[in-house]
Amino acid sequence: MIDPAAPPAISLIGVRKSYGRHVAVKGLTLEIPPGELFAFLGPNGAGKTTTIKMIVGLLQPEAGHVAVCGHRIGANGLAAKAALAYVPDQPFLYEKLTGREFLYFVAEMYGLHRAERERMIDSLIRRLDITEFLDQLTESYSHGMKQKVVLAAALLHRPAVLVIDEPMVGLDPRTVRSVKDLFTEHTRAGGTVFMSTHTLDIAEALADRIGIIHQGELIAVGTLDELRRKARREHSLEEIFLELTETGDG
Amino acid sequence: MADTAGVVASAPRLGLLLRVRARTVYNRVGQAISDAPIRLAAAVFLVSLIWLGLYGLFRLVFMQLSRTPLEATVAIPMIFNFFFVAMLALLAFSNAIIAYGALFGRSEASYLLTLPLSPLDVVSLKYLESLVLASWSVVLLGLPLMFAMAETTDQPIFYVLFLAFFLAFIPIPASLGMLLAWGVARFFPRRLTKAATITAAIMLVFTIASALRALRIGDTAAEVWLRSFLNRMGFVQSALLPNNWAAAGIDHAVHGKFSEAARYLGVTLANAFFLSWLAVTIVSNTSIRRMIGRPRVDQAESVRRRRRLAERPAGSFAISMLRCDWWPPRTCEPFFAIRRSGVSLLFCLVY
Repeated sequence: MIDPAAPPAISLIGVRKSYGRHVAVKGLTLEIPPGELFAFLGPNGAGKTTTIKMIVGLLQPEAGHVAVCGHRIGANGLAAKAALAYVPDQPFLYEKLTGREFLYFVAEMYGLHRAERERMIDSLIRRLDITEFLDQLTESYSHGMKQKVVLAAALLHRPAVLVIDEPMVGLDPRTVRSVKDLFTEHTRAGGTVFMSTHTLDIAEALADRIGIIHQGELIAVGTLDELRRKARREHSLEEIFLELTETGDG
Repeated sequence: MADTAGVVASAPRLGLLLRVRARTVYNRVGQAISDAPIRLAAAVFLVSLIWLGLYGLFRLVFMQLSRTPLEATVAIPMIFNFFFVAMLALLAFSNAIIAYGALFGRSEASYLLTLPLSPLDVVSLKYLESLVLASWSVVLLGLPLMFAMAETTDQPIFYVLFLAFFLAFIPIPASLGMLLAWGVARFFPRRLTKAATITAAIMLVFTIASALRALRIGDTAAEVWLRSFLNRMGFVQSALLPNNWAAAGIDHAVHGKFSEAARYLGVTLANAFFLSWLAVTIVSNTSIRRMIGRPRVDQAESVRRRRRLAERPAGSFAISMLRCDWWPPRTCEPFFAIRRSGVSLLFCLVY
């Protein structure tokens, strides 16, 4: 499934971003290969959202560069953005469209043909259990319902890279299970998932590799075992996270 | 994984965005008809009432003028000139507010920029959106003026030319408004207190200058005041200003000089296209991602700020008078600051 010669799904090289005098991300370098589920962790204000915004092309780094599937954001932004999908922590939906109309819009945006569009929508609404409210205006949706529709929209064009901020917030346990399965299937099919979360259990259960950012710097990256070795602890990700980010403070 | 890069990169996207916008409007109207028909009917009724009032007023003015043809020759072009200059200022400001909110306030622009769309597509959509939303002036002010004026001329083509001039004219203030919104987003301080201080200082200087000028006139007789006012407003008749092209064109149309009217229409249209292109290009090419993507003022903090403001008597008065609650604070912090400073100044002047 995965071409060994394929460029990294996400590549950040020496990326730096500041807001005024506050440096949010300090020379971040990170490569994520295709087919990996990468969990991006960090305390509040560590630089997670800024990093994500640079990956999806919402912010321009002051130094360094970001590439998605070999396409540099900025120079070849359209190709890069065509290869990715982004689900923010506060999902955006057009309030005066129904969920189905929104899915049609996204499908057309990514150039999906009618038959493929219908097949993908049918499959996703079944998996995410959204049939019941899909034809209502999205303004009447709860946060969880919105999250499901936005997830379906993100997966519609089978993106090479799925960037997702706090994926499980507001979802019921059954949907959490479905989403976990969808992520696993997505990475098995060669897709990459870049997930920022505070839910360490999910990161521990799903992630192939975990990166921890603190005060704008990537202080640890690796598999759970590698992080345990770094923290010299045989405990949970939560304890490792707390120890590493506490060390960073000092 | 699907390779959609080629398909997406080559496809025009603005049409799709406009269709989505049309669909949301269709759903919104359908919802208003089914959920709140009385509210909708009341809104239509009140707008019609204003429309009829304006029509009556314009008709009265033109009828009075038609009784004195000599004065009418001078006054009618002047009325159109002042009308279009007022439109220029009003529409530029209303477009600036709409464009600022749509581009830098709502999360839609951020969302669209994560899709395979160029900033040019996103800015073009927002420009057209603010242009259409601000075109209420055509319905509310332009049409009653047109119908009232049409009664004084026997040229049926006047209707077509008037509408053509109006439609050619409105992109000019829309472009200026878009550039103003961009300038505010790019150069105006984002901290509310700093923005409010600068705005209040500018308004204070402006008020003092106006007061000094009024004192210098001295004689308050209506005729003297009017002459002084017209002298000061003489610049609106400059041949370089767009209001003058539209006013002169309509005046020529009224007098049956259609080739002259067409020349002015061409000038207005060419400038409208050029300014639209310039505004959309400047805004989409200059750090639009930096401005849209940067962290916004925390909404909870904004709500706390407004509560603190509401606790003070002057602040409470200001909020209730101008319904600041209607303005999502994170949507337009600088414009909020401008309004707040304006209200505070008004409050100080009155009391």
